[in-house]
Amino acid sequence: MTRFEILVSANDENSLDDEVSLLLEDSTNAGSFGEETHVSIDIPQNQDLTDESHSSIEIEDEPIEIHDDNIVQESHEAKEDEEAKHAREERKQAQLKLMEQESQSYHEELQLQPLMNNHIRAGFVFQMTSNEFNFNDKSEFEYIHHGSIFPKSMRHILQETKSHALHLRFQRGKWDAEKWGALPDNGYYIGGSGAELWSSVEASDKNSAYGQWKILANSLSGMFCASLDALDSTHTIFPKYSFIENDFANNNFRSPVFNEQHDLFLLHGSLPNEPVCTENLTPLLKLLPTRGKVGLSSILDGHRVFDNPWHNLALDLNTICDDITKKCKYTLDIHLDMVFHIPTVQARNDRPIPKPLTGENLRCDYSKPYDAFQCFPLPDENSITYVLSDVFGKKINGSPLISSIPSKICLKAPKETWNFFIVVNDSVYGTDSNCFDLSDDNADKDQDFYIQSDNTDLIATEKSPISITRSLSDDNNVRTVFKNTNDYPLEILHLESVPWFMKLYLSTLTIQISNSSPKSLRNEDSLERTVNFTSIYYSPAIDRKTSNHLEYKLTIPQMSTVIISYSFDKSLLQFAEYPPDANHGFEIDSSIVTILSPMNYYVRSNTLLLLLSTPDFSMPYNVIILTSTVMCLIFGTLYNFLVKRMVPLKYADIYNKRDSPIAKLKTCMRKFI
Amino acid sequence: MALLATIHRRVIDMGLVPKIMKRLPLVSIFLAAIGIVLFLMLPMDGQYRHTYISENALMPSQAYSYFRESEWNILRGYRTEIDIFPSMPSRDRNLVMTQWLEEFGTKTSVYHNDEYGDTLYGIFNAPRGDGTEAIVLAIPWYNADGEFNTGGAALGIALSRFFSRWPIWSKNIIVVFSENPDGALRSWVDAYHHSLDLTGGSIEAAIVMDYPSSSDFFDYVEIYYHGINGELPNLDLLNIAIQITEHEGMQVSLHGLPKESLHQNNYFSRLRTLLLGTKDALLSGIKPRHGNEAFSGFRIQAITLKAKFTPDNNDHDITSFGRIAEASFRSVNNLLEKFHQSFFFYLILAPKYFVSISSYLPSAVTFSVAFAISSLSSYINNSYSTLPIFSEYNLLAGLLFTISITFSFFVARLSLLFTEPRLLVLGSVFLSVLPHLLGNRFTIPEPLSYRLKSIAFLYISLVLTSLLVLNFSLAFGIGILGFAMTAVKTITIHSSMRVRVRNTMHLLLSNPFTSVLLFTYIFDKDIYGIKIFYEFIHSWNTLNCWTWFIICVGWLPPWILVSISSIQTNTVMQSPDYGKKQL
Repeated sequence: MTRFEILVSANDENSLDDEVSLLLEDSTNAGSFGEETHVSIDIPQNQDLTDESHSSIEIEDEPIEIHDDNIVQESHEAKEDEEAKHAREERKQAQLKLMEQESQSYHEELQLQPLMNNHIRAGFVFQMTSNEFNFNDKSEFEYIHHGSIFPKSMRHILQETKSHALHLRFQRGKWDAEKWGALPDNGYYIGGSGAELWSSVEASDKNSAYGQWKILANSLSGMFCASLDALDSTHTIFPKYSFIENDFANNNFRSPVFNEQHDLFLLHGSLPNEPVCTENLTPLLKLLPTRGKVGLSSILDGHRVFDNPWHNLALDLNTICDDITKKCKYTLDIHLDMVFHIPTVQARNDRPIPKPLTGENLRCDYSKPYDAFQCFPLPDENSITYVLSDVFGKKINGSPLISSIPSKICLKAPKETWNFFIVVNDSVYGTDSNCFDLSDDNADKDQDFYIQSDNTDLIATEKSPISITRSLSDDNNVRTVFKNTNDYPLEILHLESVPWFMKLYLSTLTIQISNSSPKSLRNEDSLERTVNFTSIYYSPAIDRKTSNHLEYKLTIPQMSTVIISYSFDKSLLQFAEYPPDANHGFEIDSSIVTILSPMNYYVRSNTLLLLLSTPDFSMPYNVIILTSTVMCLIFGTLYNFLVKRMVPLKYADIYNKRDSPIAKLKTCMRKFI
Repeated sequence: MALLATIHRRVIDMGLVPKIMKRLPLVSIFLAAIGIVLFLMLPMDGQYRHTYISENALMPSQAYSYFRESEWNILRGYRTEIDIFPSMPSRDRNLVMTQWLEEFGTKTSVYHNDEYGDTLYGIFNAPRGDGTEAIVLAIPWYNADGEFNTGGAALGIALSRFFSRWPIWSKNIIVVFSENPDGALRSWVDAYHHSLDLTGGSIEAAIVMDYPSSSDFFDYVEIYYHGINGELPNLDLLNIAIQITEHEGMQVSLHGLPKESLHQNNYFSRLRTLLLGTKDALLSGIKPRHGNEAFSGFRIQAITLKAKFTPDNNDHDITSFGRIAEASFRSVNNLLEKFHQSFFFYLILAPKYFVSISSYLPSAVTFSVAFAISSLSSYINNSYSTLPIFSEYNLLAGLLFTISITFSFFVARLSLLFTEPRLLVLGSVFLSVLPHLLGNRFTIPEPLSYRLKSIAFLYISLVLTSLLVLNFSLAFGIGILGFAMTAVKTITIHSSMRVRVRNTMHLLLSNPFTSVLLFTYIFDKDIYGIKIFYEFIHSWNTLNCWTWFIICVGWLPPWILVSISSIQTNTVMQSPDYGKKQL
């Protein structure tokens, strides 16, 4: 066990000016789109900036309009086959012509990947690219507003908030890395439990960047029916290392486009308690040019997308610019990933309520004692047969005419044990690559996909490179366990955002290492060198303003487990800061692990639940009422006791005589005389 | 104020204050009697209340329970396999169970503990919800009586399998197979909150299942709910368990009441349940532990369900026992908040009757007031009441008090290392008889005797006051058992032999060790005799049960002081200054 000295960076740059943040919060609350509001935010300390530097942000409200120009709706009314085909062909030609002119594109793809224990991952990818345009040329800039497949609302948000990129994630459920292997696409599109948003924003300083971020969050909150408006300064951090290389370097776009003097700021926030449901899916589908009516998106149904052990919705919006031509374009990627357990899905189709099976349907192990009364259950079958519409409850409706590349469906599984066929009007076709292009010709036909395997345990999944578990222990400790089961070390970046009501004691940070193979570690002294705990960035929380932000690089040696733990204290919240009703605890954001080498991989830890001492809110009133009553009683009595003397009646005369003024006078006189 | 003033005037007129002052010992006994009467009044009609489900979200038994029909076949299938488990080493048992659990997607892990053996646990992640909360189904392989929990283990695996098919869970489900419901389960709960890598979030509720038989049928259900250190599960959890059990048609027995008395509902049946409940709470963690005690102290609401068999009348099948757990899990699963609505402090009179803290607390309060008054009495009701506060006797009494507390603390601590209960009891008896034996060979100043008693009673009164909300039963128990202390008289050279013998008797009766021994000998056949002291130490070591320390540090020091005070005294001549009445 080794203790590390940690340099705590000055927090001043991170802190937000009171006045400004207040102003921002007040005004940005009204800044959601779709209302007739005109909001201007004045940031007082930037008086010297030029007009162009946007010291005041103006939101002129434009209600979001969704263009209907490009909707390709397949009508299933009875029409002459030929006529319909002809008309469609014509439409498609027109669309493609338009697309070619405008260099915009739309592509969709579905990747099916069987996982262990009869699970299957369905990964939908929808990619849209806007026309190229020049930021400096206003007319060209306006050009992409019209007749584009790129959703206008997205472009609007980017421009209003001067953001270059935004990434939105909704995730629920637990990815079973042990069984299902690595996350799809290196985990880049997979968020932490709840909702997560990060964005690079162009602004003159941190405060105005935060202002724009608030507007962004509020707009997205309205658009996606999520509580993203709750991403206030206590939920927002400016990542120091994480996400940087993806949002800055990979986009080959570092320089500001809206204003030359501005900088780019990366902001990140997450809401671990956000439930993900149909109302988050519908707005995503509405962004597609097909509106979820045609093509792959037509099988997405909220009942199925969210009725599974794990699902993730991701939206990535990027600005890509060419340094030479100075032309830019927007890209919008929507990734929907979900994991189904096929036997459960099939059982749900047969019997919506998982009632006990009838005796004859029980699958019993006949090698064990078996009769009419007892049955030792068999595990799930190893061979499986189903069609895609069993899983999604719907069939794919045609193919989007708008796209120049046909929609694609692939099964990522070994060809030897998995069969993947397209079924069109009872005819079955297969391909070598296990990939199918959705053809327009089949649009009116009954098409489905047939998946069959006799050995479902033979699958093509990569091993998850790292496993991370985070837990809160009873004695106020945050414990993070990184497990590397590879035979090579992993260099990782760990980002933790911990709310202000957890007061961290970084002095208590300890790193423990235990390894399964004795070779990887020579002796205890080399721990510091092995773990290579570097690039530590820590910005402590300011009560009610910012959260604790901790980032560090770490090397997890091969075949070993590194445990990082530190203690914290719970703060007492103010009366009004508790949620309005008795709650189940406070959710702590999942931490973000980025593997830097030897590969790029992203993974989030689980979220945590912190229990703060929650008062019984009716108690203070009871106490106040009771104590006030008691105090009144005591005061009255006490006052009486102090100023009155109670004596029995028979002595009263004696006392009266003794204490009367005349008697006192007599005593006085007697002293003198 | 007028009323108070009038009363005040009347009191003065009648000269009540000096009269009462003279009879303070009587007042003290009177208060103690009131305390007992108040307690005995609780089971009377109108004093108790019907239980009710306070948190509306729980909705017990509102959804139809499906753990029946062919699930019984599966349960029997598992049970036939489990029947051979008792002859297997625990490692192999856990291996087989791990394999079964993983077949339907449960994440499993084994917690190794050198002292208590391996504990297998599996987590089924919630398909709904964010997975930060969990409900525990705990199945000890061997129950509190050392019987193999065949039915419980079969229910555990069959229920886990059944649960895994339902998409409704918003909380993770953790199934735990520990070696016993005592130290093994407790060490797992401890490890879960400190060092385990596979965790399923904070545990909201736990149900321990005990079905120690291979039989398909049982008669009625016993529910155990007392946590340690006076902790109780939220009344809502107990209520839903009782309501569900009765909904499924089974009878509920609390505190081990026999079958014959379950249908009774009269004053004496309620009183019996009340007294048994108080005794069980007092000895919770010390009596045989059923499993729910293991979860105490982590804000987990836990109960134990135990199936009871009778020779001829077993007409409920094992799946209905499973349905209690199923329906309770579904109820807890409905919770969006923590358990907070209902009572955390209550006494149960019958499965559907309870008294809340406001009704039963006064009976313990009167005891602590009675001790305070005894303390006052021994301070003022003698000719030494006018001694200054810093008189040598006061200081000496204070010193003796400090010594006795330190001594008691060492007794408590040392007992953990070398448990010698016989020595403790013998020592107590010796100390009780010693003042009598000493006779006039060794005397103490008379004022010291009064001061010692005064300090002793004040201290025990404070202890009881601070204890009475947290652990009512313990406070009430100490109050009753230790009350004989207040009757110990200061012995002067003129005191008769009868007074001296009576003093010794009172000391013996009120000694923490002898009276606990006597109490359990009369009232609890499970743990009477010297064994109880080992159980005290065991419960401190495994469960962190404070009872031993409270007895040693809260009860023993005042008893020692009282014991010293009963040594024969020599009258102290007061200097004229002391006796001077100041007008």
